[in-house]
Amino acid sequence: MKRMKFHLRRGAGKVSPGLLALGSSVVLTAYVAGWLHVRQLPDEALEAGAPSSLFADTSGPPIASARAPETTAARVTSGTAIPDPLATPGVVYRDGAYSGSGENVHGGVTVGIVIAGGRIVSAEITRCFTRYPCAEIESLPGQLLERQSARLRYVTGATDSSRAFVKAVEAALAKASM
Amino acid sequence: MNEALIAVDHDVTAARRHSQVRVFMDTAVSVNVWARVGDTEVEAAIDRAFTWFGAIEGTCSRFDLRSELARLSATVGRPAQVSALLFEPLRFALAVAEATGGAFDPTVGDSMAQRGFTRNYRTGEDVARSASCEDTCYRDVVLDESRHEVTLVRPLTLDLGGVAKGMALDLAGQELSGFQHYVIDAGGDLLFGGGDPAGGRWCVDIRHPRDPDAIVRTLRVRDTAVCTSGAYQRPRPDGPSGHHLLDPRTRDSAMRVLSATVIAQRAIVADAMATAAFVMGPDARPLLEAQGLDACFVLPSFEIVETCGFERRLG
Repeated sequence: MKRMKFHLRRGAGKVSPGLLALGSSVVLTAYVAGWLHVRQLPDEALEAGAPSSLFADTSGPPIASARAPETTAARVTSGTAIPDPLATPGVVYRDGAYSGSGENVHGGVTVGIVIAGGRIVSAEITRCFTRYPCAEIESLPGQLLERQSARLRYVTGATDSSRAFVKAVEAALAKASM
Repeated sequence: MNEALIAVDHDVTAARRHSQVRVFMDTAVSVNVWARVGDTEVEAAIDRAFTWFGAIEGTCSRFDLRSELARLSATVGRPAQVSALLFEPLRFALAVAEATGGAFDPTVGDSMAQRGFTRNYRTGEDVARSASCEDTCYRDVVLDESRHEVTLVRPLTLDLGGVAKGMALDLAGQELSGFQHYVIDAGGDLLFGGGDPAGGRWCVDIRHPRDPDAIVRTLRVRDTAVCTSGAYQRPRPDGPSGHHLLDPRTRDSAMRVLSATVIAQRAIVADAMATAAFVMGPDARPLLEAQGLDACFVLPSFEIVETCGFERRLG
């Protein structure tokens, strides 16, 4: 299947955008943002004072490719067996949607997670702008849901991207624990 | 009346079809999920799928003055923070506007209202027709991604009719991603999950623009969206001939083709590009092919024109 890399440079020398990649990014960002509302969880679960953007952290280049996870491992699967809540002693994670970014020398990854009932119930790579194909780390959101922890097994051959993903998850979890 | 007819082999014993139809965006939306007997989660998932349609309609409707889109259209000259459910489809619509050189443009709301497309189908009320000048364009909308803010540089009315249904289809589809086979039919704009439960791909017919009983092409698809824009769908309400698909560059009903169908993995892409392809006609082929999309046009002569990859979609 042809992979679409999303490029858009503003000003002179514009390159036509990868619309499929952008469309996936748009859909998944909105999905994570509205996930709680659609399940009619209390509004106070959402970050107070930020009714608009549930993703305040958008560091890095403004536009980047966001490879849509196509395997079910990377999507919300709240019907599967959920292990114990995030098992970090002494840390309480507030329900809500959070975004975190992690960077390395090759670029960076932004991850959106949704926490409900103290568990990560949704995880998506919302932006990925590394030099290497983002498809290599598309199994990590699923692994995150299974493990309920930022301690993930790196993808062999994609350790830098994996590290960026983990940093992004840690950044998001840090916001959830504030 | 569906623009595309779906044929499903009903000799399926392993899974049962769960279906519901509800009205959103002035369209009968049919959600169909095939699940094993005893699967109690499917009805809850279908419910959530419809909730997304309601959420998008409530946020993005031009015809509801309480919608976030209507309130944004009333905020001129200064940044307004908006929710993701408005920011994201708007972001996509503007990217398509740029890619198509304005053949697709979400700032056509005033022109649409002035041509009589003002009725809120739920309440029967009409929104006002503003007297603002008609040379607004997509560049008059500026997004600040880091702040999630939208600035309308000049008075204009946004219309996300070209992406909202596709976006809702994709969001609803996300709710159904745990099921192997599903079809969401939003008045002929379709999203398919998996393949036909009987095996193989779904069979989809593209209807003839003039004869509702005739078929111009039969497709076989799986895990994809199919959207059609047609001149026959919504005629202009205020009398003169014409329809709802305006060419933003001329503000008149586009006339190059009778219908345009686009196949894309995401419904938001298929929806927006079908709208753009309808306006641009076969001139849209290079852009469609560069984006890896398959499309089919029915010309006013009833000749069929296809993108180069389209043949693999035929059944």
